[in-house]
Amino acid sequence: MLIIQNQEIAHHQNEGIRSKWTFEELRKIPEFGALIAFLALFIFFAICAPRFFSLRNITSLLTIIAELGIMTVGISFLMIGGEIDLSVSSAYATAGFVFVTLANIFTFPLGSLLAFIVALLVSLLIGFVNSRVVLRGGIPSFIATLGMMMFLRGILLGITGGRSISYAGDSLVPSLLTGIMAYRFRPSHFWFIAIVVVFSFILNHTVFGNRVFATGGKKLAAYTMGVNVNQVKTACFMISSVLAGLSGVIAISRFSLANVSFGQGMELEAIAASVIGGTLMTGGYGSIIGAALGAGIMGMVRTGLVMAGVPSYWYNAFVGIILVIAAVVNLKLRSTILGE
Amino acid sequence: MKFGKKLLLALTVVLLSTLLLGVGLAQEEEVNVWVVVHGGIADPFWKRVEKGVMDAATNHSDLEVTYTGPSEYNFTEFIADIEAAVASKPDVLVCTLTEPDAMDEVLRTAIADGLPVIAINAPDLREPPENRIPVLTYVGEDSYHIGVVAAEETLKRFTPKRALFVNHHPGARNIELRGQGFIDTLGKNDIPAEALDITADAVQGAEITLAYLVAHPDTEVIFSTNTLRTEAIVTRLLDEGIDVGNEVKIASMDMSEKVLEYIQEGQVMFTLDQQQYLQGYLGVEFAYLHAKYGFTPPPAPVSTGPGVITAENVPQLMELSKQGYR
Repeated sequence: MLIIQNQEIAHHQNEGIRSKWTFEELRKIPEFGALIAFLALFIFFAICAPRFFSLRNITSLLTIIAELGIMTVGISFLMIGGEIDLSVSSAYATAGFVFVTLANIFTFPLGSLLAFIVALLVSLLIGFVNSRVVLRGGIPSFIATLGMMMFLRGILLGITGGRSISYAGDSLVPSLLTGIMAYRFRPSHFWFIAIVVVFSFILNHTVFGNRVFATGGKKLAAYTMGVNVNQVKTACFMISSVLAGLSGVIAISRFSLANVSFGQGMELEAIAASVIGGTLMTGGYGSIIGAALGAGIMGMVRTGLVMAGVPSYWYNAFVGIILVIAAVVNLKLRSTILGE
Repeated sequence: MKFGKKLLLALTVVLLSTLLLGVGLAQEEEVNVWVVVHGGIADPFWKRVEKGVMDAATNHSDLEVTYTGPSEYNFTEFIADIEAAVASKPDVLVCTLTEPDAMDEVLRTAIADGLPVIAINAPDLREPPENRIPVLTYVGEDSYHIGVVAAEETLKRFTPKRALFVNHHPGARNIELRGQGFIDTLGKNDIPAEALDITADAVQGAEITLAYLVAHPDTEVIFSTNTLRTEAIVTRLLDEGIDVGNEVKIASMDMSEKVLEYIQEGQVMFTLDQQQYLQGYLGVEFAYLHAKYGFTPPPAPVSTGPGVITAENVPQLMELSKQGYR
């Protein structure tokens, strides 16, 4: 039975000896930094931006956060496993394109459901190809997935000529994913929460999750102790791509439109959200709940700045500062937990 | 937790809640107009719209205008800005209808909830007209007609062997329609013409255009509908030693200082002015008058062009372009 030191064990070591709610203990929770930042920003915008703290705005924010968040959960999983995936934005656009094209062709009942399944399978394939290029080809994942990102964008541009494709399929999948509910809540908000819960559980409470931490943290040690590192990484690449694809289908369902430009630049936002949420790019450390909070922060910042009347030119500058501060803070917190 | 700390925490919560409530209650008696454009708002074209918006805002002391949009064109960000605008509950929303299909749901719901919307720059041209987003009015160009005028003005000057329309915004229906008007009109005169996607990147776009010319050396006219792209393309072709203005003639749209210079020097034949300053200016004015006094603006389309700008008009316009009006 493989026993690997991870932050869960470190966290539990002191249980029963001290109260859980002292600052010392709270600091050791991986999501702590992201949670404080999230709450601080939320309160800041609620005060400075008129109507930020309104139901209408909260539900709009959740829509944005859910889509970015689902992609961020996937990419965080992979980053914890020690790799990176820049092709998530292209997987997002490709899945959306495949979904709309097939749903328009499949005019039989449940056609959109089949189109959805195929779109997710295509996303899994993208992740699988990425893993082969990285693991068999020996190419750093940054380069391999950068190439995949450009390749997919180029293919989509070549096929569509940049034109938008309107959705003309049945309403089953769009309403299941993103249909407007009471007070403008959408199913995607709940899918997002479910995905965060499920993947957080997988990461922190299953053998597979343990292996992901091990693979990302100390690959050689993990390998020596019998973890099939390649298998773990392949699974992580596929998780990253399929969640990106799901996010893409959700967005496209919302707009009833697929365009090759959708999602461009989103890979950097997802990585930033992941880092803000406590995941380190060196691997072996991170949190899915933190990733969700990071996506929340990214989603909130833009809307908050707009509603506070700040010209949107400043958005990227603001996000850049938050990103660097978050990375430094999380690094310090990590040192505390792992005693380095 | 000690009692003192608990009290402090409770006081903080109460204070914050009061602040939040206070901010909500402290509403002045003013007209709030939000202007959201697909941008990018850093593009020189949109700076003219912004100037029109801001100049109109200074006309009335009780008018508060918020102008926003993505700094580089990004549809998802644009929609997020629209949502933020709607959530801010302005008196009127002025926005571009870049992708009517995708914007239909959010705008229709907002309009049904009582938010008047005025469209500028990019209209909803879906058929039949009953399906279009029920905006108060539309202020801007008639896109197809602009393409037709571009072709007609070109044919007044010469008969090209081949023509090219460069699209810097694939997916934007109004820009596609400009190309369509241009290509259709030339097609009626048996002149081959096609549209080329030059991406949203001006530098890359210039390279793509050059590559097309190399592949189709009989191309004698290029129609570009963005000043930044025209500038980038002319510069690139001149660098390559192409005699721009003789070997290849340029038809352009909108104005900038550089484009006007090119017209004077003969590299660009003419430019079509959609007078985007007026789109921002009139959009905000109509919005204010509607919100304050209930006036119904003139019906769509309130056409702001095209004017045909040639070398004779240039001296006067140069100065205005520097100031950011045209």
